[in-house]
Amino acid sequence: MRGSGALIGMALLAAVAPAAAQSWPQRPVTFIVSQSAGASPDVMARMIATKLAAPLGQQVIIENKPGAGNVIGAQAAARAAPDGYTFFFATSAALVTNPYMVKNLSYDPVKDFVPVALVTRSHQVIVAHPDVPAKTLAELIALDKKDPGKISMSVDGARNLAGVTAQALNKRAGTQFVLIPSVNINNGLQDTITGRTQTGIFSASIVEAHVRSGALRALATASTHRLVAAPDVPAAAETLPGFDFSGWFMVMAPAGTPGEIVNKLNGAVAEAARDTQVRELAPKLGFELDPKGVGSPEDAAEFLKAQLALWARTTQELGIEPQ
Amino acid sequence: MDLIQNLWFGFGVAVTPMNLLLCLIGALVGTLIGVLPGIGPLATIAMLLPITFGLPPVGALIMLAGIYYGAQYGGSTTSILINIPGESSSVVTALDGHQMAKQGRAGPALAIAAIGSFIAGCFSTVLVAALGVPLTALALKFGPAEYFSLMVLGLVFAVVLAKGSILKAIAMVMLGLLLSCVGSDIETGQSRMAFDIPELADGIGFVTVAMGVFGYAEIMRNLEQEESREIVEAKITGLMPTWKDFKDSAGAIGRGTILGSILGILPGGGAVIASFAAYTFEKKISKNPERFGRGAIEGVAAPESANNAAAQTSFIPLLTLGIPPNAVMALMVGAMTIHGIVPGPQVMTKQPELFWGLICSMWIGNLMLVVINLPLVGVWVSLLRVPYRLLFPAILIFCAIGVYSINNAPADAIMVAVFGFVGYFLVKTEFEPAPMLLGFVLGPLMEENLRRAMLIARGDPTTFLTRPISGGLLAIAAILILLALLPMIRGKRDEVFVESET
Repeated sequence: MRGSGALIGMALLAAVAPAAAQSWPQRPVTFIVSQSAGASPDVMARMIATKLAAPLGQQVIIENKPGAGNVIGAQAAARAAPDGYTFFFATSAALVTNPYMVKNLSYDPVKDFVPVALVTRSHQVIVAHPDVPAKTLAELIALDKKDPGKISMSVDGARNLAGVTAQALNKRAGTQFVLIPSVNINNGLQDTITGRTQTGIFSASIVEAHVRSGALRALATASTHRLVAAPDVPAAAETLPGFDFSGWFMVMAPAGTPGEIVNKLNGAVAEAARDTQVRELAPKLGFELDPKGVGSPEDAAEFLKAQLALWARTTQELGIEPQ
Repeated sequence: MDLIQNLWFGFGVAVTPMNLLLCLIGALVGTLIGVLPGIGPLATIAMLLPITFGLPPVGALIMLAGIYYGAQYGGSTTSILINIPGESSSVVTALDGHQMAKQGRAGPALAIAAIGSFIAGCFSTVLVAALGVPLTALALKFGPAEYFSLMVLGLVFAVVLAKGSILKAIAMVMLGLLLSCVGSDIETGQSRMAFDIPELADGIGFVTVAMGVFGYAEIMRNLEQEESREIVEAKITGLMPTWKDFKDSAGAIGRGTILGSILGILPGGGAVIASFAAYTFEKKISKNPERFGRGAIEGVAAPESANNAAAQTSFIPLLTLGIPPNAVMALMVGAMTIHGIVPGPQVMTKQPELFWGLICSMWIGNLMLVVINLPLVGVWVSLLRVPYRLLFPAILIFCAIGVYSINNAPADAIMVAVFGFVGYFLVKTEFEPAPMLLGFVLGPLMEENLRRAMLIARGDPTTFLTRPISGGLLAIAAILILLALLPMIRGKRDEVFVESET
């Protein structure tokens, strides 16, 4: 009796599941953001969330679960029911940095999630105080080699994006820039503007204004291509081939979420990203939308795989151990 | 006469029905979230940001600025009424403000806080308008070494303002510094004193500690002595300050305003240090310093004027340089960029209507706060008449919800309870929580700046003494410590004389 009950139950479930996916969403959908309200992933998530209401026919609610370097939010999302009502507005730090930085990570970015869509990337710029004689990245490298260890470089933290980028730069170029980490990146920015640190690596959004006003000189973007917003700033990869460190946001579903729901949400995110207001505002905040549009869930999965490989290689080269 | 012309132009921008309405909404929302424990201006502005996309840029910024200083003021209301500082800058207000409330003088305390804030707001608005650009140069001179020395000075203030034993105050500052070390090392990311608990990995939140050691501890102490509450209810006298109150606090407001305006320009911790500094200063120059901590109205007027002036002048680095001094300001930069305004020196020349409009709206916002809050004083005070058996569970529930809502983390609510017991123990053993809280707030800033300064100087500690501003600040700190210790060195006689009245 009990067995047949379970069988009937499973049969019912099987019959209901596709129907549930078709009529999804029936109630508001939650996006977990692993940083606090007002942080850059939160700003982007809220911008997309308001534009998702139309294609989904339901509100998207942002739930901030900050803490422990994205671990708390990611863990909550990984353990959420895969019913299509909880998703993770994931940061690159949560998906590809943490696995190589945090020992005994409480979630697995590949096994616990299914990629839905890569939303935006945000690029970093290597800048120098105007008094620094170097006009290009190559000149800066040469300057350091002439008198090693004299040039300071403001970064976020040794194990954060800009910090790892700077260490990778030192490794690749054979330089000895001294990393000056600041918890609040604006302090680091002020150090570079006043020349207390000669150089710094910052996200494009926060230095753009200062580069334009002449307070800072942009030497290179820390990526393979030039930015649409600043086409005359060379890419670091033009000097150091393949050099590419950027942050990005990807919508992830808990593993086991029905494929139809994933595809439907992917379509809705793509539509939200095509919205003219989003197209106009996102670049101003330093988020780069792919001009070809948001790719498929498969594109996102492929991108994630490549990024994981990049971080595995980089952390190994730099001798960064999880702790 | 450029200044007057510019201000006139700014008022023209700010005083449109639409902008006045936005200013009022901002100030109202700000006051509300300031009064609700735990919900800070940062989260509120973040959530309202999408709404402002549709507004004209000047209006959007006017509203956001209104929220910011509304919250500053609302935070003091809870400090005075229920001994729960909503913002780090209103910790000191609780010292004398809550004592006044206990003596039935919550009305005058709230009113003088509003009036002091308004006067400070008026002065610092003019200051921002007149000296914004030259003052920026001063702010830029403050590098990591200068900040570190400023923080040292701030901690010395905390020791000096203590009303009891200096040794105990130093112990509390140290405890605060120690608590602030919980979390991740800023350079290596190595976890410190977190015991592998992910909720501790980012350290302990300010609200968690403040709510626990001030609020919960206060509730426990009240429950212990039931009858004292009835006395408070019976004692509520006038709602407005008396002529004597005004005379007593006039000087304090003036000095608090000046100190606050100067320290506010320095990003990070400026407003907190300003409130502590103003309080310490008042206590030092007072003819009878033993009144402080026991309901002295100057002890409310000075820090409230100082933190409001600081909140105002903290716009200077943002408007003139585009460098946001704190997280709230960083969001404002986000709001500006969304509207296509690039913050920085060019704002003043390229968008004069925004620059001057915002400055004038600061003044209008302050006026609104007085208009909103003076009538509300009666409402707040009547809260104290609510029977305590109803009031205290309500406070506990609001605190629990508030602290949970910051990170959506249940662990935070538990931690507040733990700090409640810690606070109760401290009160019982006559350790003052205020110096601990200052140590706790300044600890991380101090550490970061110390390490950054040392890294930039390539490990040379004399950098703190050879840089003139930094050396000067350290010298003042040393003198203050000497002054505080003198009575102890001279013999116990005068100290006993002053302190035995407790």
